[in-house]
Amino acid sequence: MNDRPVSRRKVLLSVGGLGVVTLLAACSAATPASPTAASTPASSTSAKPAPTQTPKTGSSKATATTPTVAAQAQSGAGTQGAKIVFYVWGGAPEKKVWDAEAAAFHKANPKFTVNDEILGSAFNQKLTAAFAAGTPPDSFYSGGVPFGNAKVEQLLPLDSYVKQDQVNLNDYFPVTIKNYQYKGHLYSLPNECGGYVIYYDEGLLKEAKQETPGALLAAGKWDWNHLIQVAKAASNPPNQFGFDIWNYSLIQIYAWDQGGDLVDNDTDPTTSNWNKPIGTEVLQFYSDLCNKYKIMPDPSFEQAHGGSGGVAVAMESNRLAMGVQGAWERLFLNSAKVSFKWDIGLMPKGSKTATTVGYASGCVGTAAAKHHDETWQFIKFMGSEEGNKIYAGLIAVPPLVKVANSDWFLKRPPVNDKIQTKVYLDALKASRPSINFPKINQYNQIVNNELDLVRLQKVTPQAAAQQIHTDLMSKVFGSGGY
Amino acid sequence: MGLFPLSRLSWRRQEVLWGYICISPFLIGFTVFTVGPLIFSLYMSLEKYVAGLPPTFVGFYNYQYMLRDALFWQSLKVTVTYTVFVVPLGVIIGFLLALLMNQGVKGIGVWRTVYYMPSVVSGVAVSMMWLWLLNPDFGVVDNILHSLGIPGPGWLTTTTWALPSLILMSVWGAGGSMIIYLAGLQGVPKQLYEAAAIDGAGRWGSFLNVTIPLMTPIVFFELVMGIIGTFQVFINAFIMTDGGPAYSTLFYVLYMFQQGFEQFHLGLAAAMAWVLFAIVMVLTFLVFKSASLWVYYESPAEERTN
Repeated sequence: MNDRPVSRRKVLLSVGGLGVVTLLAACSAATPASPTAASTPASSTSAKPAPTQTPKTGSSKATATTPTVAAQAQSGAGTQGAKIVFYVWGGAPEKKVWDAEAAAFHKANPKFTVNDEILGSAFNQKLTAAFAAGTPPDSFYSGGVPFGNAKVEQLLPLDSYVKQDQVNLNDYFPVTIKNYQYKGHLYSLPNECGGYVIYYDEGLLKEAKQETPGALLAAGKWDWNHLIQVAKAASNPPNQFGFDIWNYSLIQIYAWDQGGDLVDNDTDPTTSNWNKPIGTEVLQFYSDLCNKYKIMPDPSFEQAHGGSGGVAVAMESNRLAMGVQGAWERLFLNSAKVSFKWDIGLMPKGSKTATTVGYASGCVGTAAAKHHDETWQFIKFMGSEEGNKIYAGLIAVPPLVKVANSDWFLKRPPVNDKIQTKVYLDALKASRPSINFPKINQYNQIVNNELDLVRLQKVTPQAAAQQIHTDLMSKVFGSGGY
Repeated sequence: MGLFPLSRLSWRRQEVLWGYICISPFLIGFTVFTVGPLIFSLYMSLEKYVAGLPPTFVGFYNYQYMLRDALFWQSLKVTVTYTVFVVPLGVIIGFLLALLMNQGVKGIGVWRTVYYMPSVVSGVAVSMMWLWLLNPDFGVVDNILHSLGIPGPGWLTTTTWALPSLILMSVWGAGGSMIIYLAGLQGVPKQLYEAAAIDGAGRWGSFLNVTIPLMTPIVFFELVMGIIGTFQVFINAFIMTDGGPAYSTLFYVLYMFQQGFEQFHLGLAAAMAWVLFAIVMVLTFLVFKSASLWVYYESPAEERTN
């Protein structure tokens, strides 16, 4: 019998070796999807025809009005019993919409179910972490191509599916499709959309003896100068402000309204125009709103009131007369049982035109998804008439033109005693997609830094515009960046 | 015969083997979840690894890029400034609070609980609370200032005040170090105070010559932990300022997070993590080296090392 104890070194080496092997095994599973696979979704489309099923009519109002949608959705291939993991933002108010969408999809596609994970304010962090870890969901909700959350190579291009199922992209408002296109590829079919509009507190404007944006528009006087005039009369800083808008929306909209562009191409920019007069002009305008006219609050107001529902809260406490948001704000203005009378109006006109930011939201598939075909079926359903109606029925504008122009949308019971659907539609028609490209986070960081300095009057608008241009050209569009 | 004929091993070998089997869950976990990722991140720091794209080996490119990146230096400057103010503030205020909480007055337990309570609140909740307290429109702090006729300075919205606000906010958590100092104060032998009194020392003399020397090991501990902690500040800046305004609260770890999880530069973020590790290690080493000059131990050094 050998009395020599087991060598500590041997044991530690064995355990260490086992650990390393386990680690390597774990790492290999988390290897990011190959970009080749991501860029060729057709190769993963097994195109197994689904069994034909008779659409169940009359089971729900939505299904009854769109009998062909369910049948279309069932035409694709898919694995029996597949579960599509779907990440989405929102909280309690939106939950019933997502549950209804998932239930309707399951009804139309009994073979698959959607596991919707409503992540609320943790949405961005959880999604970004999932992508970084190589374990993204099959699909997630996104406003535009989600460059802020993922690399384009991690997304599922839908072009071959669109072609295969003969989806007509002209059925949608062009701005909504543009939100999901990058270098000729499409990444979603929109489920809801809108253009930013101005929400205003009628009482505060009346108190300030000012006409409403709607009345000024009807009189042909609704431009940025009149907005400043109305907002100034309704301001009493630091307790009450006349106007609030997200900074990055303001600078884009104002530049477009003056006939300018801050970059040469909104989705695939190669050069910055910030060194041109338009760059200084937008920063001067932003500085004036904050410092000269004092009608816009500083970013702390944004922290407290900037998110969805922020305008409703700020107006309820008499702190804001006019605020710019999307159609979703209506949900908060209605559910909050606000005590003031509110209405909406279009964005004002600049020296050349009147534009606004046009947004769209829809489901995006991921290249690493386990179920590409099923994910496509889900995306297609959400972009269908039935999918559009469920979401738009609550808070949004349907991206499908025929649904948006139908009596179902235009003649439904008005909110706040007014027919506002037309304003939302007019805003959408006057809109452009926000600047969005793969390095959008870096772009925003550079611009926001200078906006801070301009607001604090640490630099002149001209110097800030030049600095933005220099930084963008070296770090975002040039070779000096990472 | 079984796979492991333990009975054929001597008792001593069996005991050793069982010892290793029992600690193997930790060893495997430590290797897989700590050592492994550590080695992997070191390798990653030598790669241009953008999430979603295949990584390519680039040697020391990430480290070179960092040296050229103005925001890297800005984040380092913000973090060092924060450390320089917060660590001494934490040591002094924690110690002073502990002295107060060491008094034998009625209801002292309640006071100790009240002062310690902020330390058990999650960082996110604390950040959210301070965000509201410092809000210029409806925050309590500015309301009090307004009632005194003083305009609020724009705590988190001006480059002048954003970092000082976060520094002042850190005092909120001084209860954590207070408890450690309190434990230390209660461990000071009474005989030493009695001996000092016999030698003619008053309260101030006892404090200077007995209390402070005997508390230096705890100050040393708090200093080391404080340096490590302040170099890792993230939550406050992430929630309250997101590095702004104009990068004035861009802490090192926040910038590292932005590089890794907002711009997906995982290789660069890994390199930043290793630079942070090196900085903290050097500073800790310097503090340890300086310990012999100012830290007082009752037992001789050779006894402590045995």
